[in-house]
Amino acid sequence: MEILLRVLDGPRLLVGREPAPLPESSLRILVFLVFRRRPVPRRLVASLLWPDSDESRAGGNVRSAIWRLRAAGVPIDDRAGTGLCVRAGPALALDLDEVTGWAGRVTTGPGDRADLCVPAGVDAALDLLPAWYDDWVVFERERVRARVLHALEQVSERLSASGRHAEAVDAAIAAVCAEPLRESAQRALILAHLAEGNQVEAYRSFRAYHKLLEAELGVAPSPRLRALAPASMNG
Amino acid sequence: MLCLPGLAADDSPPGLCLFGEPCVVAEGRRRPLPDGARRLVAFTALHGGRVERRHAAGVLWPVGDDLRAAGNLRSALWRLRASGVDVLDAGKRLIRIRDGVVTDLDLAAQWTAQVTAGVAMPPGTDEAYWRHCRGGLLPGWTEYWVGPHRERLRQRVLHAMESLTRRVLADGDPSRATALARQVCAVEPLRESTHRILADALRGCGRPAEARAADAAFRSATARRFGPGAGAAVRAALTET
Repeated sequence: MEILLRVLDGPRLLVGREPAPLPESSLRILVFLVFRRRPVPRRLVASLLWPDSDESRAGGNVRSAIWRLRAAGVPIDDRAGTGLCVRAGPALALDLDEVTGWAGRVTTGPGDRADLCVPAGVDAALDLLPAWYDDWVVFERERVRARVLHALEQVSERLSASGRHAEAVDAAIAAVCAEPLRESAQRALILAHLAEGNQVEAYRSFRAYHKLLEAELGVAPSPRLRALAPASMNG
Repeated sequence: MLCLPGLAADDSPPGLCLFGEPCVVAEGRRRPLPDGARRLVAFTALHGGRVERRHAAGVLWPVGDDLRAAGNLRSALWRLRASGVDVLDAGKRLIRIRDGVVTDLDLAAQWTAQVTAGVAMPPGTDEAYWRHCRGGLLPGWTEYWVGPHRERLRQRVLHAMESLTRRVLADGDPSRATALARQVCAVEPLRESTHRILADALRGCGRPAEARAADAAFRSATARRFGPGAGAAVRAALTET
């Protein structure tokens, strides 16, 4: 039976394409273990996920959540001495892996032609599990966000180089939408416009960013970015 | 505004329109969103159809404390339900666009992706989308969270129209290509890439004089706004031939 954990939409667990009826506590443990990727002692899981409960009660919560996950068919490794471990892989697919895998390939090497296409889950990956506030989620959210933003900026440049201007502009704007104050994203957008020969669009993007920076932070864009605006339009 | 294929028919699913004045289209009728809930619906739709309650409350009602913002959010949801155009599904933590509600945002994104990839659409589809989208997303809204999304859709729509025009020209219909390019230029008079396509289309029709006239108009428009250097790229393209 195919098991898929969807964190980009949900979160929810699909067993053979049907959503498994799991309470949020079980989903939280599952997502936590999948994000950790290595064994975590039971007692640590209990104290991180139920910081306000006493030890025996938190331990009970962990036991019942694990039991439900096993009943749904999730492969959980539980070794005495090391602790609980769930790895995304053939037995348990994670939808986020498609996006982070793509981002990794784009940022590490010249990349395949197929990687020029931005995967559909990118927007959701830029705002991972928005309703969860735990520290371990916030940390993972920022990690994924940083990787995806870098990948979008790089893929935009490569798309421009291969003449796919529409996709290049779109990839850069995806990064701008997620992080309007980020200069490297705005720079990627301006470069994509210039590569297409659209100087006026490039200038408009530059002006909009200039105004935003002034209003939000009271600073001007860096000289490196200002150099991109066509000389006759600067100012 | 109700001309989008996929929203217009009587049996279509309820649709949420954000190009133009925000409204809900159901059973062939359009109904405005209540004033108190418009921003919440638009914010949710622009953020992929799901937002976290505290995030939405904090952004939409920044004045006052969290408690008050949460109260404002609840009253917005209540007004929406009371008006009978309930397009949001409010959970304990997340607010989502209700399952089965189609947004023109998503339809436009699908259309632009297909056209840019070179897929030929049924007759009339492209024109209907262009008419629907050319005014821009949530026109007149000055909220800072609208701007980047509006620009994203604007670029997608313009690129889709440019792809379409290039394909029509390559298929040997320069007069339709000219008409399409002129429509886009009328809305975006300062975009070089569209002007290049217009010049190609006019030359394809055997009207080089008009190509030169269009170039002159573009040059003076950009020069008025940005000084004499702005049209350099399009001029270079025009003098090549």
